[in-house]
Amino acid sequence: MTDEKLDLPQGTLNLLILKALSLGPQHGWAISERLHQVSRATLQVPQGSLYPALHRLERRGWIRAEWGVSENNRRAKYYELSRSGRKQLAVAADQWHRLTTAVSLVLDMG
Amino acid sequence: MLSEFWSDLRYRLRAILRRDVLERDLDDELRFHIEREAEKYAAEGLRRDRASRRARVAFGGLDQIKEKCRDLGRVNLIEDRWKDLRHSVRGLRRSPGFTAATILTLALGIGANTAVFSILHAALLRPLPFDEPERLMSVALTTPSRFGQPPRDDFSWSYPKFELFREDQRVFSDLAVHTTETTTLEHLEDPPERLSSEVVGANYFRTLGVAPIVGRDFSAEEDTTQGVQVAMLSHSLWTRSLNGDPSVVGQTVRLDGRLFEVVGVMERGFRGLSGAAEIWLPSMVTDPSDLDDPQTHSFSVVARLGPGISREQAQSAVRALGERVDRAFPSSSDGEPWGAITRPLNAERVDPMLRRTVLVLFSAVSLVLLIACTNVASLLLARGTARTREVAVRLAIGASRPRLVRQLLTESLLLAFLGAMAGILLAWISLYLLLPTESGLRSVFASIGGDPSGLSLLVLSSIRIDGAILFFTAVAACLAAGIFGVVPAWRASKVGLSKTLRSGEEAVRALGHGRAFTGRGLLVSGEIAVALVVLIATGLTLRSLDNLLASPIGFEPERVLTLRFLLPLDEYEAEAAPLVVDQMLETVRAVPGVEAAAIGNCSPLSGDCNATTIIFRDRPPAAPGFDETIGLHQITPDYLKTLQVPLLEGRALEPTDRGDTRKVLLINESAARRFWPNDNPIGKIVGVGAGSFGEGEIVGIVGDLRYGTIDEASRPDVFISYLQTPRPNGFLYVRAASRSDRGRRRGAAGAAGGRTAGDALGHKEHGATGR
Repeated sequence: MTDEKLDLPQGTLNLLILKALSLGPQHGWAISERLHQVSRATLQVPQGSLYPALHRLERRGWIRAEWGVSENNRRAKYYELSRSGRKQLAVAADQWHRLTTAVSLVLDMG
Repeated sequence: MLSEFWSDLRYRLRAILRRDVLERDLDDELRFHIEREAEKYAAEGLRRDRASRRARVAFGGLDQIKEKCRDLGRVNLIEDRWKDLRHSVRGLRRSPGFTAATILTLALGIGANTAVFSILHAALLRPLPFDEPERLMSVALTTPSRFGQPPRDDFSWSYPKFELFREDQRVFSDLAVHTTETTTLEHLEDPPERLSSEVVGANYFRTLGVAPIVGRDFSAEEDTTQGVQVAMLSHSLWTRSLNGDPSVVGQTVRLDGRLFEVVGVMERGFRGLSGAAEIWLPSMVTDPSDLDDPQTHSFSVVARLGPGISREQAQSAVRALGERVDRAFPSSSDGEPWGAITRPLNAERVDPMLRRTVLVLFSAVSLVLLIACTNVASLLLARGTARTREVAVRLAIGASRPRLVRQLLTESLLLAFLGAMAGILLAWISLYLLLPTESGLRSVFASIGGDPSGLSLLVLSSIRIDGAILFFTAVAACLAAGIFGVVPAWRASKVGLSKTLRSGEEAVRALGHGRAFTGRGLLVSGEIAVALVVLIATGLTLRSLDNLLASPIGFEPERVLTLRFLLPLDEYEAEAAPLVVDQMLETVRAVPGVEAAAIGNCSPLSGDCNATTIIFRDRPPAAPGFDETIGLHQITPDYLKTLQVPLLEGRALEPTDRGDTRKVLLINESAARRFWPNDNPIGKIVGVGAGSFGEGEIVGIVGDLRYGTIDEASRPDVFISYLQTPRPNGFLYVRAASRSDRGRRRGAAGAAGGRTAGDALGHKEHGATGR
C-alpha cells in the first residue's frame, strides 16, 4: 500500500523529537517508530536526518544522552529531555501553533 | 542562551578529546537502529538476510550519515575563524568612522599600558643580565645608630674586613668588591673624557658570570699586588674612542694621569653593577692607606651562592662571620656591635620609592585602559542596534546563536589587535622620545632623592620593548576584547526573531527600553566614575609637584653654570692648589659675560655632600640624641655672590682668609638657630670634625641652602674657606650676565678652567666638563 509520506518542513523535526521525548527517555529507533505510529503512519522520518538531528539537539543541550540496556537486552543510546529542552519545546510548539493558525486563516480566506 | 553556548562547548570538547569513544558509540548507535529495523521486517515475514538488507537500504548511506554526525562535533576552527575574520573586515571597512574611533581609543589605552609595562618590566621583573642572577647576593655591613643617623644595613666594607670575611667564608663560590668612581681618560688629540668607572676585585667578572670578548679577565695576582696598572674597557668605550681595534689589548691608556695597560674588552651592553661603567680597574689601584685602613669603608661586595647552598644558610653564615669581623676590627665607639648581612641582589633592584612610583603609574594606565574599553563597548552597543536586521536575518536562515556570538567576538578581537598594534607603535615612539639618556637618568635621580640606589641605573637603562612586553600587550588586547566585546555580542544576538523582522524601527525601540537601556547607563556611569578617579589623582599629584617646585631652595639657579673639575692625583701638590684655584678663577672671571665665579665642593640639591660633627669648646657635652651633625662645605669667597645666597649677619669669607691666616667659618641660619638659640654665634670658636681642620671662628651667618632634596628640611651647614683646605676636585660655578650665549659661556669657561689648571701645573690636560 502506498504511503503518502509528507515531507517535513524545515525545523519541524526538532519539535517532533522534543515532543516525542517529553513522555520519557527513548533511543533513536523508538523515537522514529513512535512518530510513525502516532501520526497515523503519515510521518516517516527520513532515517538519514534523524540521527544528525538528535546529535544536533544534544549539542544544543536540549536533550541529554546516556547509554543503557534496551528492551531486548542490547546496548542502546537513550535520549532524555533536559530542562532547557522542555522550555524550548514549549516555545517551539507555541510558535508552530501560531504559524499554522495564521496560515489556516489565510487559506480560509475564501 | 548561555547554557546553549556552554553545552555546545562541552560537546565539541568531548568530540576532540574522546574521538575514538565517540566514533565507536556512533557506530553502535546506528547499527542498533538497523538491527531493530531488520527485526521488524523479519517479524513481518521477511527472510533474515533480506530483512537486513532492506533495513540497511531504508536507512540510507551509512557513511554519509556518520559523516554528518561527525561534522557536528568537528571544530572547524581555522575555516570558521577565517570566514568570520573576512566578514568582520568587510564590516569594519563599511564604517570607517567607527573603526577609526575605536582603533584610536584602543591604541591610546593599550599603548599606554605597553609603555608603562616596559618600564615596570625593566625595573621590577626582568632578570638581571648576569649568569644565573638568582644566585647572586649582596653582602653588606650593618651599623648601629651613629652620628644621629638611623642604623644601617647597607654599609660598605673596608678592605681588611673584607679580606678576613673572604678567608673565613664557606658559603659563596665567588665574591668580589666593587665601587664606583669617575676616571679621566686622556686622548692624544681630543680633549680628555670623563668616564664612569668601577674599581673592582679581580674575580668581579667571574662572580657575575660575564667574560671579556677580547683579551683576558683580571688575574689573581692583580687582586693582591698593590699598584697594578691594568684596565678593562667597556664595549662602547672600545668602539667609540678606540675604534674597535682588536689589537687594543696590550696598549696603554692614560687615566687620571697614570699609565694603564689594557687587558681586555667586555661584551656589548655590559656596564657593570652600576649600570654606567665604561672602564674597570682592579681594586689594587686604590691608595694603600685606604686599602690598609680597617675603618675606611668604601667597597660594596657582591657574591655568588655556592652550589647547593640556600639563601638561609648563607644568611646565618654571614651573620656569624659579621660578628667575627667586628671583633677583629671593632668600629663602634660606644660598644654597639656592627654585623654583616646578605641579601639577594635582586632585592635591591630599585629603592622602594621607585617601586611604588612604577606600580602607581601602572595602576593609573590600567584604569585608563578600562575607560577606553568602556568607550569602545558603548560604540559597539550602538553599532549592534544598527545591525539588528542583519542579525535577525542570519538567525532566521539557520545560524546558531553561539556561532553568531563567535562572529561578533571575532570582530571585537580584530579591533583589539588592530588597536594593540597601533598602541605598540605609540608606546615605542613615546619611550624613544621621552626616555632620558643615562646622564638624564642620573639627574632625575639626583632631584628625586640622592644617588641612584642599588641597581636602579642598571635596570632602568634596559627599558625596551621586547618579547615579554609584546606578549603582555597581546594578553591586554585579548582582555580588552573580552571586556568590551562580550556584552555587545551577547546583546546583539539576543534578538527575538519575529519581533525584529516585523519592523526595524520597532526593534530599535524595543532595545532602547528595558534591559538594554540600563546596560548602557551602567557603562556610562562606570566610565565617568573611573575617569574621575584618575583626574582627581592627577590633580593631587600636580598640586604636590607645584608645591615642591615653589619651595625655597636658598639660592638663584638662573644663569649659573656648573663645571666639575678634577686635577690629576699624582701631579697635585697641596701648597700649589690655592694658586691654581686663584688663577682658574681669574681666568674665568676675565671671560666676557661672566658676572661672578666661585668654587664649592658639592652642589646644592645633589644630596651627596659631606657631613661631620661640630665640636663646642664652651659648653658641656650634648645630651644623647642631640644631633651635632653639620654639613661641611668648602667654598671660595665669591660663592655667596655667584649663587646669590643672602648674607644675614657678620661678614663673608674674604680672599685674605688663606692657609696662613686664622681659620674662619660661616654658618647657615639653621645652624645658628639650632646651636645658638639664645646667643649670637658671631665670634664664637668651634671645632669642625675630628680631623685636621681643627677650630675656626664664626664670622658670618648666611641663608639656608638646600643641599639635600627639595622636600627635606634644611640641615645646619658650616662653610670653610677653600683656600684654607684645598682639594683636588670640586665644582666651578659661573654666573653669566645674560641668558644668551649660554653655550659659548660654557665652552669658554670650560676651556679657561682647563687651560689655567694646565698652565699652572705644567703641560698637562685635565678633565673639565661643563654642565
